[in-house]
Amino acid sequence: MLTVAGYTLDPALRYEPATNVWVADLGDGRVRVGLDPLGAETSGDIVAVSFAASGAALAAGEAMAIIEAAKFVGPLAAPVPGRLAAVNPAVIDAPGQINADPYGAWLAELDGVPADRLAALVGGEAAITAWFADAVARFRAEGAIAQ
Amino acid sequence: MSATATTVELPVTGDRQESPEWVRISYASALALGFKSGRFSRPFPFGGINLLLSYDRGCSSDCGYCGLARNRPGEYEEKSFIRVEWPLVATDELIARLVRHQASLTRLCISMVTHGRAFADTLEITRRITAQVDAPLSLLVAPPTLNRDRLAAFRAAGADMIGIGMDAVTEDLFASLRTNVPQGGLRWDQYWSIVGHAREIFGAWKVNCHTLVGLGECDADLLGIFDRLLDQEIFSYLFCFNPEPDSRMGHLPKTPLQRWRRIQLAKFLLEERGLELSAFGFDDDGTLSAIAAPRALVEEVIADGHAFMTNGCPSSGGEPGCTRPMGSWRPTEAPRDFPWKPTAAETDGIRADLALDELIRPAPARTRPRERWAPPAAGRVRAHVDSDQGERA
Repeated sequence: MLTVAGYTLDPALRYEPATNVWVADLGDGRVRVGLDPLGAETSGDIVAVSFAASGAALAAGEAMAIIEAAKFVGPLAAPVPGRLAAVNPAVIDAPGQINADPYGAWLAELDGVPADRLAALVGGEAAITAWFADAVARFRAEGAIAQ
Repeated sequence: MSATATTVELPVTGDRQESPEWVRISYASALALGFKSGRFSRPFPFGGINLLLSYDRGCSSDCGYCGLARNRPGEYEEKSFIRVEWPLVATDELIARLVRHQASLTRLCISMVTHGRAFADTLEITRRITAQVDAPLSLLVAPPTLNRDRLAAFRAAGADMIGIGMDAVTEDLFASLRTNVPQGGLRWDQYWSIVGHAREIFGAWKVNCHTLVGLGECDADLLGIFDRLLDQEIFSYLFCFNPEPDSRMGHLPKTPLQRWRRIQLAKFLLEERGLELSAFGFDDDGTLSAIAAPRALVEEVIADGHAFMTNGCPSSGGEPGCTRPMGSWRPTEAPRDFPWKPTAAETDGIRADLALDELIRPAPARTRPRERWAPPAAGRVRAHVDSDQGERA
C-alpha cells in the first residue's frame, strides 16, 4: 500500500482524478469502482447512495450513482464507459461503510469497458502520488478536510 | 434572585465530557471550523455557528418532535438533533477555532437544554466566548431553567439576542407535545413569562420565538401568533417540521411544501410588508385560503426572495447571520428555507410551489401603520418601502 499525505492508497488500482473514484480491473472488460479515501472523507458522513438503472449503458462522466451526505449531495460519474452490471447492496443498506472502509465498500461494477479507457486512468505509484498530493492540497485549501 | 427557576441546581461532576468544558456543535458548524471533513453541495459563505449544551443525562424535556427527547430510544451521546450528528468538542478548542475563523463568523448561538446546570454553564460559556471572540452571540434558552435575573445575567455577559423555542403555537399543542408527556413539565405560561422578561431586558427586535410549522396547528394559529409577537416587537422565526427518526412524531409526514411556502409568504407579508391580519382568509379548518393583496406586491416579494430565506439572528453588519443550512431539508430536496438568496431558477420553483392563482385575491393592500411593521429580519434593505403599497393593486 502507498501512503500519501496521511492517506492509504492501493497502487494496484487505477484512479479517476476528478471524482476520486478508484477502479479495479476484474478482467474481461469488467471493473469494480468505489470512492477513494479522500473522496469519501470530503463528502462528509454519507447517509444514502442510489444507483442508475441496472444494465444502463453509461458514458464516461455520466452519473452512475447519487451520493448523499449530511450536507452534500452530488452525482458520482462513471470513471469509464460501460454497462452498469452490478451494485453493492451492502452500501445501500449501510452507506456509512463508504466512509469507514472506502476500499471494502465498493459501489458498482461495470462491464464492456474498453481497455484503452481503463489504461487512461491514473495508475502507478509515481502518478498516483503526484495526483493525490495535489488533490489533498486542494481539498485542504477549500476547507473540506478537518484540521 | 427575584424569582425561582424551576429546575434543581446540580453539582459539577467529575471528569465527564459535559458542559461547560465540552459543548456540542452543529454539523455545518463543525465543517466550517474544521472539526469535521466534508462540504456543502453548493459552496456559499457560512459563518453561523450553533452550539448545544451537553450532559450525560441529556435533556430533561421530552418533546414529541425532538431528537434530544428524554424518552427517545438510544444513548444521549448517540442521539441526533435536527437529524444529524452534533459532534462533541472541547470548549477551549472551540473558542480557539472561533478566534482563528473570526473573520468569517456571522453569528454564534448557544442552545440550552433543560438541565439543572444549564443556566450556570450557559453563562460560563457565554463569558468565555465573548471575552475572546468578536462576533454577535445569541442564546436559545430553556425557560424552565430561567427567571428575569438570569436573563439579565446573560445580557451582562454579552449575549445580544434571546431565542425562545415555543415550537408549538397553541397552548393545547404545547401541552400535548411538551407537557402532558412522560418526564414532561414545561409550561406554556412559563414560556410566555420568559418571553416577556426577555423583551424587557433585551429590547425591541432582540428577542425571537421559534415557531414550528407542522406540529398539528392550523395556518390561522400560526398567523395569529406571528401577529401577537409582531405587536410586541418580537421576531417569529419559522421552522419546518422534519420528522426525527424514532421520536414520538417520527412517523408523521414532513410539512407539505405548498403549505410551508404559503406560510413563509404570508408571514413576510404580515411582518415586513405590513399587511393587516384581516388580509388573510382561512377556510373552516383554519387553512390559509386567500391573501387579499396587490398581485404586484406578492410578485415583488417572491422575486425578492428574502421571504423564503432562513429566519435567523443577524450578523453584526445586519446581514443574515444564522442560516442553518439543511436544517429542515435533506441535500436531495429543494431548500425549505434558503441559506442563500434564491436564484432565479429557485424563485421559479417557489412561485410554482405557491400556486398563487388559487391564493391571491387582488386587492389594495390593507396595511398597518408603518411603525407597526417589523424591521427586516436580518437587517436587509427594503428598497421599495417608500412606495405606496396601495398603488400596487
